[in-house]
Amino acid sequence: MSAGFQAVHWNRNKIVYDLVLLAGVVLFIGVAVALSWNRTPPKNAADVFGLYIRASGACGFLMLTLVLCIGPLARLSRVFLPLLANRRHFGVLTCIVVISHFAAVLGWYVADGHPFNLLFELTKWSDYASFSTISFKAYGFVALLILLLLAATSHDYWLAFLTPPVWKAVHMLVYLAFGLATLHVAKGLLQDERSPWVAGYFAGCFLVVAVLHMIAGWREASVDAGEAPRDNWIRIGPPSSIPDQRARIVAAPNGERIAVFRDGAEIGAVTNLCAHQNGPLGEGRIVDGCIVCPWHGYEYRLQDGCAPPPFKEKLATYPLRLQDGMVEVDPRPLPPGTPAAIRVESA
Amino acid sequence: MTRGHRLAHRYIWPALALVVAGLFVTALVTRPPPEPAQQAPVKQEQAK
Repeated sequence: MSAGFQAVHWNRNKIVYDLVLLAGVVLFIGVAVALSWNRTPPKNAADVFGLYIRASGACGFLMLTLVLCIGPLARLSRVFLPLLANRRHFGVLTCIVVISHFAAVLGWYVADGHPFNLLFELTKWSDYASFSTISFKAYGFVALLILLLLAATSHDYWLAFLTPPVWKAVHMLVYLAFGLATLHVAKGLLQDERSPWVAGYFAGCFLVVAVLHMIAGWREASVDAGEAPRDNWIRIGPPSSIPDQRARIVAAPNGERIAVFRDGAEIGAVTNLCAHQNGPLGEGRIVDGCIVCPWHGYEYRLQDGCAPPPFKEKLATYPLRLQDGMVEVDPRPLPPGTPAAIRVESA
Repeated sequence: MTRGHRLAHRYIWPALALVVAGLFVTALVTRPPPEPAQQAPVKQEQAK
């Protein structure tokens, strides 16, 4: 993998995906503005900006909720895996909607005749002494800065430059942004809006995301607990216990996960971490002799963990042996790209 | 995801949920009472 810049490779699926998303955003904001306009016709330019601020804010919050649900849903059910492939496009569009929300806020201040008041409000440092005095705009502004950072570093160039672990750690800031956006709503919109349905909607969105992440996290805790190796080998089971062209995932205590794949009579063990975004390779399948990552389709040969030419990614492999008819794996990784697959008589 | 990231997820989400839920409820409980209704009836009285 190179840190050299390459433009996004557009294909038909990505274009359709983005167009559908864009149409959804335009429809959501358009309908929300039209309904509000009908209920409370604007009296001046500031009111028009106000309508857009609410509509784009609600749209951005919903998009952030949906984009954060994709990860845990894909962990809980393979049905949702296809949604992961273009998740970054969804995230970038969310950021664009939030930028338009902020632009409308600036427009509202200009239309109101006090273009610099937002700056004064955000830099009134004495307000930051307690939760009750912090302006809701401060929460929203910090959330916007985080989303800008994430959108700006969403391209694979930054993924390669920062390395997947660092990139992933940086992008976990989106959780903080979501928490700040929820507080932005609670201290802003919900101070005037008394309908319990509106408060319930925003609280419900946050709860759904939080509960999904917690369930997905707890479900995987047992796998992370790992299995104690005997004489440095972890027993997998008979070859037939590994589904054909699929993997079984094991881990040593305090160790990273290992994906043990079987392709007919050939068995190979590689790290469960895809070299692209640390995706769960063991949840992928073998196609034409190559392990295919379920997240973005990166491929690796089963024999040695190397991506087929012209790609250069390599995975760490693990020694395997057949002992008393049982497949066993040594949890100490070999250098990436080391051939380590074995053949068994029958599976 | 690496083991470290999964571990971080398992601790971050309960903590974030507690903090945000607490502050969310605080923000709703401490909001000022709604403004009184419009003064239309008073105007009618004055008209009489």
